[in-house]
Amino acid sequence: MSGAKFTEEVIRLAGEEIRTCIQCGTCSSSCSTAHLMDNSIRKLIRLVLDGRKIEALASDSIWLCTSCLLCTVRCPRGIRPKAVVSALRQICEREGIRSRDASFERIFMDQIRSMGRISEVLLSAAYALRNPDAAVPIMEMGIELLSRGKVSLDPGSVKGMDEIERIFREFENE
Amino acid sequence: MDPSERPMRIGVYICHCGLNIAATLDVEELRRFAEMLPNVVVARDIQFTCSDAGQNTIKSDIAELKLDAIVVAACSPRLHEPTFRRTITEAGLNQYMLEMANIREQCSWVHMDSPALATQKAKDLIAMAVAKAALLHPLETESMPVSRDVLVIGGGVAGISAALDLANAGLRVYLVERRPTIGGYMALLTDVFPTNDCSICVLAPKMAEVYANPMIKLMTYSEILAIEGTVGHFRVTGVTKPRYVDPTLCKGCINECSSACPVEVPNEYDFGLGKRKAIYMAIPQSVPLVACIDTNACIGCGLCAEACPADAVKYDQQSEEFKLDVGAIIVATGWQPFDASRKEEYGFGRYRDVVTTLQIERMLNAAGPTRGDVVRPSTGEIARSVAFIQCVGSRDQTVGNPYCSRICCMASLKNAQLIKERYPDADVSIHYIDIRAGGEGYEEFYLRAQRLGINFIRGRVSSVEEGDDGLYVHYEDTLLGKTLMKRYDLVVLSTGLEANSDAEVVGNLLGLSRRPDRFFEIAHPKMRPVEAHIDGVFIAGCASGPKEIQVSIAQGSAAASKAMQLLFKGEIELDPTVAFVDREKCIGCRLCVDTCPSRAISVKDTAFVDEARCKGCGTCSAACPVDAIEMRLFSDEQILAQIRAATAVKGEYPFIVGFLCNWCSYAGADLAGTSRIQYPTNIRIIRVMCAGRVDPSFVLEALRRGADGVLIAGCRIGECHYVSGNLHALQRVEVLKGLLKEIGIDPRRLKVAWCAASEGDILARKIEEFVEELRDLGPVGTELAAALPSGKV
Amino acid sequence: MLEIEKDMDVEGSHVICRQRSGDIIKILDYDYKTCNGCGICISLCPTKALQSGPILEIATGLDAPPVLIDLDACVFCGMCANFCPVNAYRFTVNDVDIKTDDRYPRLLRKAEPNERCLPCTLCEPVCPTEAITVVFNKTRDDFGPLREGIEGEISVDREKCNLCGICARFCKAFVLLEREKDPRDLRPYEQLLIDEDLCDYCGLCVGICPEEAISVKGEPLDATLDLKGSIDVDQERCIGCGRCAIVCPYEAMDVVKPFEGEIRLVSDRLVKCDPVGCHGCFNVCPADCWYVDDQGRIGVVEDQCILCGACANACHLFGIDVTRTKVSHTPIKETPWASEWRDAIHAILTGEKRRYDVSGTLAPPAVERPPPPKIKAPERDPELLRRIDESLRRIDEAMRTPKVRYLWERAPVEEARRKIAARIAQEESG
Repeated sequence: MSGAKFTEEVIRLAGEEIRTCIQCGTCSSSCSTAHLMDNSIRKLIRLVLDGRKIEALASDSIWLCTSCLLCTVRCPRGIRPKAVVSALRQICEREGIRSRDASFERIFMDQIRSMGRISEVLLSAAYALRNPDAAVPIMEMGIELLSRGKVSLDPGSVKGMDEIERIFREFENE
Repeated sequence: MDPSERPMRIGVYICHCGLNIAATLDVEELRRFAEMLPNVVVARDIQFTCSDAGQNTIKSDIAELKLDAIVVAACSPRLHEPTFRRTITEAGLNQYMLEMANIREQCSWVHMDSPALATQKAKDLIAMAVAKAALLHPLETESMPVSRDVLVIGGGVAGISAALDLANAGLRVYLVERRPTIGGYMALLTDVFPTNDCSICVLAPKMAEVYANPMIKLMTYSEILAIEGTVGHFRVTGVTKPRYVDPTLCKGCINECSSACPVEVPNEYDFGLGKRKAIYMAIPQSVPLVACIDTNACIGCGLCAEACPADAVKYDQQSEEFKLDVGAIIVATGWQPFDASRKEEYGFGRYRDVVTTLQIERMLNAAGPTRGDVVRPSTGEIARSVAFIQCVGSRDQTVGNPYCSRICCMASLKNAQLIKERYPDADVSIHYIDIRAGGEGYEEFYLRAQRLGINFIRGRVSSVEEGDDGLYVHYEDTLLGKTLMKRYDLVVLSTGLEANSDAEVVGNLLGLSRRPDRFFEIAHPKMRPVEAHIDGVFIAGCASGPKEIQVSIAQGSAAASKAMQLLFKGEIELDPTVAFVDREKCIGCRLCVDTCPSRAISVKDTAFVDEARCKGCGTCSAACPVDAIEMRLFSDEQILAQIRAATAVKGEYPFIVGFLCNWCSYAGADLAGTSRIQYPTNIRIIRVMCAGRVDPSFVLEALRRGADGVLIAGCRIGECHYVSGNLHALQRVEVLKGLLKEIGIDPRRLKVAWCAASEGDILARKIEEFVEELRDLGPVGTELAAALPSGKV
Repeated sequence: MLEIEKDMDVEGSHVICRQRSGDIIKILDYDYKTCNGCGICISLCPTKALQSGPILEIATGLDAPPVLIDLDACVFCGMCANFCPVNAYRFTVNDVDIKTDDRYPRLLRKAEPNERCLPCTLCEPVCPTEAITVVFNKTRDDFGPLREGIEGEISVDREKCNLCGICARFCKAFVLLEREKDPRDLRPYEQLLIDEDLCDYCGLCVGICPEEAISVKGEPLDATLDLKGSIDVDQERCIGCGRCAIVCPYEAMDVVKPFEGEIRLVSDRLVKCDPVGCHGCFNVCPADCWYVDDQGRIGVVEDQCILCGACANACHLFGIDVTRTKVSHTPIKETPWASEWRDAIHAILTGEKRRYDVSGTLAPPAVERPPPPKIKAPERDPELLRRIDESLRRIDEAMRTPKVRYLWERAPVEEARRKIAARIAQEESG
């Protein structure tokens, strides 16, 4: 995908309004995780418009968005910065570009698919296995939480697992 | 020579308009086509028909070839019809012997991608124009004496400037102001940019001049209730509200009465920062210098009357109605500040130390509530750090204001400078997206602010939070690429300008149209900056969009000079394109009386049209059951001839005949052209003055001759330039649709569209949709074939 | 500048607030004994000058004013007086009652006898504010003393008699037995008795009975009786409860009630109601329309209620709901204060009065100017002045010579000084 094509693809996924960005920074300064990001949301949009695909997709910021949508509510140009993030994630997924943190999403989805819900303990454990760096602090916190009865070892069960499986299939077919 | 004695001799002139037309259309082909049309004696193509050379060609042809009528295929008649009318008048023809084919705005510019179909469309347009031209008649214009008085609505700086210019030129002016004093917002400002001179010091003498000028009748605390009539004779009704203070007795001392008054209310002239009493004077420089009782606060204790040494307080004052007869109206109704509490993330209304531009103006003003100190309202202490947040309520689609308010950058630069000069140690920052300093001396003003040490931070503020020790402003410094938070004592929201919602009444009374930004629309965004769409109505100042003081003053003067042009002759020419009655045919049914939006028709045995009142919309003519009312221009036979010429060759499918009203939808189609908005070539547009002019028989004739669909487009409902013409059109179309269905023709072949002159894109989209719908329906008559047993079609 | 002074006095049950401004004295006279604590004035006061007292305690016997007046805040507008449903306030401007000034709207409620009024005496005792007085022009005593030894019979047809009480006012032989007061049955009398010891069978009573219920046998007195009664309703006291109209057998009283709306008892909350022990609602009701039913539960006769809402304030169980939907008032004239008064009337319905908050506004700092310092003009020595003049004259002379002025304007400064000085010296010596 060339630079121009990349720009077009993000616009197709996230809306024409992106072209009207005035780089005011309302999105980034509304962002609750901006301080953790290498490129702010504003800069991400600039990278997209300039066709800088590699830089944009390599950015950690894509995976730090919590989808709080404050950026989208406040953008004076009616742009949906959250949609840009989603578009970039989608392109990463499609092209197999994964930053380290993408493993979390994968574990998350797998658990939903197999159990219909999230178990904090299993999720943290699975994540810790794949990210040994994070294992120690996760375990420390886990023990603390377990001792206070804040998390449970029993994940519980949900109804309608077949429905959940159907949603996953439908999405995969798309 | 009377054209009825011999066949009409028509000359056709096809304009290249440089490459504007010639790049898309095959002009030579068009010329050859035109030459072959009936009655055409000569057809020429010309580089620029509107040039002297082009006009001279037409003139010499008229003389040499004894032409009776001229067809110019070029741009929109809304642009150059007056030019060519003048041309042919100079050559001895009656000015109404001209017809234009709009092959630029409504052809070459909107069909740039399909030159062949566009050329075919242009041929049809030329054939239609020639067909109409063959039926033109010379019309004589008459003139009517007019009132030379002018009404100026709004006593802000634009209205003051207009009133003074008119009065100094010897015209009588009525200046109507809603508030108790004139002066508008300018009277409340502190120093003004780019010179930092004192606002009221330069305005007050003008205000006083208005009061003293014998040619100006100043009516403050007054409102307009009704406006009837047209250019030359607007009959205006208004009301002056009671101040409950006799202006002839009040000495303007104000202290006596207001210090006795026990009722305190937030002062709207300080934008709520200070307080005033229920009996008050808006500003110390009020004109007229007369106190006023706030009827929303007075509790009736009677102390002010007792305290007044001049016995000027009169509780029995009543509101007084006034009636005016004026020749022209200048609308200078101004603006209103954006309500900053709508941007909840900035905390205005919740945090006391978040203020607006107008409030900081009042704080900086030596006559304001702090006597010029810049303080934190929560503590009353001097603010040591001040942030200006730009673009609050401007350039912001979340509040429906995508436009730039134009003055806020300069206002903040100025206020920041004033603060920095007054408190050199203060930390003053401006949080901006772009600094817009375009204007004489503005960039230098920006430079001055930078040199004073004002901190310019590029990045729009996302939110303001109140902490224990001050306000915290969140933003990304987009030049550093860092998301940051900064503490300030005082935050000033640079609130934008909005269309004045109080002016809506006047706008509706006059039938002024509004742009999508809600400000009043001017007749042409470039060429006619102070004229409204309505003859004799002018717009000055911020009523037509945000402006600086100097531009408002210039516009006031411009509007005044336009009004002078109109009224100095003391008479205006009447448009001869009015309705007239064939008394032989008229059966006196009075239907026309009921349909006429201008109340110009009366019936005594037969109908009679008051030509001074008739505005030529043609709604009556379309309604007349016996075709006894005709229009002098846009007559039935001319329009029918255009329909027949359009459908003579069905150049493409689906084929649409469109009737577009001159004021909104035709103008909208022109705008689509100037904006190069592309739409399908399938439509042939016939210009009518009003959607109400469209006689059902026109629709039938089009369908009968093979049009697959008919589009009738008019002004948006409620915005008709003839008040109710589009409503009549809607009624007629709705009935006709039912009848079409009855006889087996799909009613979807008839479509109405309402669009403003500013909505070229909407019109283009409607045409696109209609083409698609008709493609689904099939050619006209398909539905009949389906309904009948096969073989009987 | 108009001087405005305020003061407050207490005289018995009256709190008297005065404001003097120039020649005008405004007096707000609040009679806290008349006040029943309905709180309407509190809700409509434009400056929050009126505050609620301990209503619950007052309702059950505490002797204290239900409304407290903040004299500093009071602006003497008179709204409280004009809309008090029980006439607890009197507001005068130079002794003229504001209620006579039609520029201000006021609460409208009245009872007016119409042409059907006889009058009889029924309404007089049922009026809770003793606003009705009925008097007759004659009594039996006006016809001389009782004649001795006359035999006869007198009887009253109980079916016809409506206990209107005219006969009893006329002649002492008729005695009315009073009933226990009960709003459910307003009729004041239970029975009409005849004390035949006081009757001489004169027969005058036969003609005055509107129901022709009296018959007398005996020796009629040879006299004609033209009994005329007159009724007076003191509109200053009338609260518009309508009890007079309810009790009237002749539909002879036209009543305008002050408010329209509804009074409702919330039974859930009244479970613990002890009407005999508490009695708060009874005590504050200006229309006496409360009763206790057979089961010992309280009840209210809605027809007689004026919807003042005092009972709702007095009920510690919050068991009474009063809602008003309309206020009867005199027309609001076009005046500067029309809007505020209209809003006050609106506040009677909603309890919410528009008030402007200026607490957050900034006021210019008060500038204190020190008194200007006294200036002592220095003394001048005429001798010295004379000498100065003498010296300066030397230049005067020289200035009038063109030659000097030429030097002055054109020559280099040093040269000019020198030459002109030389010239002056020369002239003096010469």
